Amino acid sequence: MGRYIVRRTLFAIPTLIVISLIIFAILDLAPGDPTSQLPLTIPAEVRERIRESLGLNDPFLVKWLKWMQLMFINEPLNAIDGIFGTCIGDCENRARIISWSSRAPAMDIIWQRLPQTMWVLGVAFVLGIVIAIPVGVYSAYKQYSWFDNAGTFVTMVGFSVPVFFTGILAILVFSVWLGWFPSFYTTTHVVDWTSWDSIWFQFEQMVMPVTVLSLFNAAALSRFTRASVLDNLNEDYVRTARSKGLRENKVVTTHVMRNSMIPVVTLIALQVPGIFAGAIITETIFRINGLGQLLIISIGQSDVPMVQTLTFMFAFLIVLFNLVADVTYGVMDPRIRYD
Amino acid sequence: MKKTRLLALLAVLAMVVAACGGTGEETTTTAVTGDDEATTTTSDDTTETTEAPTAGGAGEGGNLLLLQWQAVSQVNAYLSTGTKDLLAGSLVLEPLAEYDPTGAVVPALAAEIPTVENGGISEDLTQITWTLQDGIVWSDGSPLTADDVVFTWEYCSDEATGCQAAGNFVDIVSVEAVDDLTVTVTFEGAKPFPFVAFTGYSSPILQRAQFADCVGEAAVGCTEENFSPVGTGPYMVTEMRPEDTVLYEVNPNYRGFAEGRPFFGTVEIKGGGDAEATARSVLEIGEADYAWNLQVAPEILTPMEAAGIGSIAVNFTSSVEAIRVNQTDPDADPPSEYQGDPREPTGGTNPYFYDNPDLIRALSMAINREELNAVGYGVTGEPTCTFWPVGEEATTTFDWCLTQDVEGANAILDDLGYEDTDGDGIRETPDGLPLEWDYVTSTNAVRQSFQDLIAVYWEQIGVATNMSNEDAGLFFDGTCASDACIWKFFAPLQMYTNSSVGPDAATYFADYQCSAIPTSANSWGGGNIERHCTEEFDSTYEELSVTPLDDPGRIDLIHALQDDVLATSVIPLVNRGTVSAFANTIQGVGDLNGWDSEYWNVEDWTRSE
Repeated sequence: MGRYIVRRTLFAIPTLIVISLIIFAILDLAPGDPTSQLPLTIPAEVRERIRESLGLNDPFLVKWLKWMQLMFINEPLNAIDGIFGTCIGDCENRARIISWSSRAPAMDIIWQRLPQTMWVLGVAFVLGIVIAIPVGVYSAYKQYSWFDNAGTFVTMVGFSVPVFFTGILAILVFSVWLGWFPSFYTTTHVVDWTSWDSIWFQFEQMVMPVTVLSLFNAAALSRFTRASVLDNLNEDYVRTARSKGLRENKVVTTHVMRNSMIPVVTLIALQVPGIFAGAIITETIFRINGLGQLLIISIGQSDVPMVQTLTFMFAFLIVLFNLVADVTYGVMDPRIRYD
Repeated sequence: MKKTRLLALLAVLAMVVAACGGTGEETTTTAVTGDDEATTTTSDDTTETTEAPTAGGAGEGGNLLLLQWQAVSQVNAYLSTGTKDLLAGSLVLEPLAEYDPTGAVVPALAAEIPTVENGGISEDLTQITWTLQDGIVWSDGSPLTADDVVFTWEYCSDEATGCQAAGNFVDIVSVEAVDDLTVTVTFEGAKPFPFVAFTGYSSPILQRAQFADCVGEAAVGCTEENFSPVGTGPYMVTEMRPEDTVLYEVNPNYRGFAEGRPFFGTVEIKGGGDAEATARSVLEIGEADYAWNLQVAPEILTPMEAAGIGSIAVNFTSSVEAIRVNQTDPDADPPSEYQGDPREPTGGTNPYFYDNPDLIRALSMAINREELNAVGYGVTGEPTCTFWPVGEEATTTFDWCLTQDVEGANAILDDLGYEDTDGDGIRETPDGLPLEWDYVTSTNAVRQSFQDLIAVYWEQIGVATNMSNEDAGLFFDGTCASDACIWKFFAPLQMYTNSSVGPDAATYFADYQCSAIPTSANSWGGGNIERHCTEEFDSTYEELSVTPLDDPGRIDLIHALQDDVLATSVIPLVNRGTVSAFANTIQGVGDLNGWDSEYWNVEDWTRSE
């Protein structure tokens, strides 16, 4: 297993370099201009000067190598300095990846947004799992029961109705008509755990986005769990367990669950990068300053360094969690050995 | 048995839900209409009573929540990527003078507006001397001096800074501090309208002490300075989250502080979402005080206002949606060389449109602008017959365009000898060229319905159009990376909105000089996209550019210049207003300012409960 992990990690490095080159090439070839939002009346030479100051006119390879240096050397060094309070080399004047629209280091903006992303998407993710697995298992166990039918109906609705519809519907019902919850997320709110008002405020603003998202997450996952449990319920080992006289509870939770959770856990691990990549639509609708919203805004403003950094980060996480998923698979199923 | 019971249960449940929904809706609507009347009357009353200055000190009014669906990137106006950032900066940074909602120049940091009469502007119009108000201090307590004004010029005119307002400073030779409160700006030549540099929210004064190390290439590294500039305005930035939220608190050193201004203690600008969502927050939910730039279809926006919580404010300046008529020939071969001065032999004048005012008149006459406006903009737009619909400066020569006249248009085309000789419903010129043109615009629901309607109007006069649309990112791409960009204009007709950044007609009209034609030689830089080029325009413009502001003949020159362009090159359609929404509790805003920051008088805003 150890060797397998090392081998996979080493293989990830060229993969990531190729990914960064592809991302870079696509963004470089794509038309678009960071000065396009300025009024049309701003003279061409001023636009040209702005582009010049952003380093936009360098040749492709120069831009890519510069970016590689910043991404793989300067930014990690800066992170180390930030965490340990050290100063490696010329830390005062170290070049950073700078966003074109805000002129601030891209990594700082991402770092600033991570808590919001984690709060809302993380809670929705965990809540989705907590709902989906029991519902899936029970639905499968009581196949075609009243509960199973209702569950199938709700998950099908949750799965097939897009978030941009449920999100806006929720705003219409709970903000416009009932006035219970705010329609947007106040990102500067710092939860003071000693104050009920503050906790309540955070709860109120999280209810709608979290519900909408976890409904969507839970729908897919519970269908998957149900199918996986159903496969296992008809296996011989279940009959054996029952004929040994084990209690039904024990049969389901220990024997069936353990076996049917193997593919489910893999699926969950593969979804983790999605927490960071954000839920672009939900974040836009509820105005949550997550990373998905940042990506969309940056694309709209042709803020190429920001888009490059974000997409590369997502690519990195996907590569990482693919590895994690494979490893968990091995841990959960002793029959699988990678060496 | 089990199944039928379940079905029955479901049916009952459905009925209950439906009934609840129904009654719920009814009660809310009645309640809303009731409220609506109640609030309108009460708010009218309160407006009158709160006209008197509000009691209490500055900053006691709580929080003011402003929604800008395009989130703020940073606060330094000079590095902004759009109006959204200029607005955020205008709460902190101030220029020497501002434009008011009518476009008039009013003092901000300056003691008074310099004129030739008060000696502030030299007789030959090449020099302007500003005097700062005495006793103004920055939010850090240090005094504002003429040296800060000089620094601002140095900062923005340094090429490596990447200053978006560099165009404001381009014809300035020097900016000199005469004493602590007096600064003299010298221009290259006569500058009848000198209120561009240091005027309006796009060119405010920066503090030398803070930005001294941020000039040129260093500008990019100054994140902290750009996020939280030291200003003289009513507020200071306390927290800046790029592309999301800016938080402000009252500036205790603000010059109006002693008189109880500003009223609001903190301001929050929240970004994200879209125009419709922010409009809903203010107009239907009542959870915010202001929503910016509401480009929302009239059939969606108007019903929102009926909730009675907030109201829509519209300001008209010079954002005119118009059809641009190419004076050169897009079919010339090779296409990249055709785009030149149409008087030049290589220019390749357009066989239909060049110097053919009657054809343009017929095309314009056939359009029903009332209908276009109702479909696309409603209360947020108004039909117009000029590209400069600014008060008295708007020409009235073409006002016949407000009434559609298909018969009249047909008669003009008949007189021109354009007849449908081959019976296909499309007229041909005497040379046999069919009146059939490509008609390009950006991909946008309103623009596509405009295209559809105009195609129908023109069909009635025997003119055919081939409509197409381009992605806005390519169409308005200043680098002109693709052939779709408006500056290349490889089509006979294209439609988009252009607007002037400042209220000076002469600055805006400079784009129609022959010298401003974008060509491959100047990398498609230049604002004369229509390739309008006439001797009369250039000579009249020359005259206007040396005419003092108070010269009574100036307005005639402005009319003449518009008439010259409108005769052949531009078919204006609708004047698009700036639309914002305010909560009904917000008082003291006055008219919405379309020429300067919509927050230009935020220190006078108050809240009535």
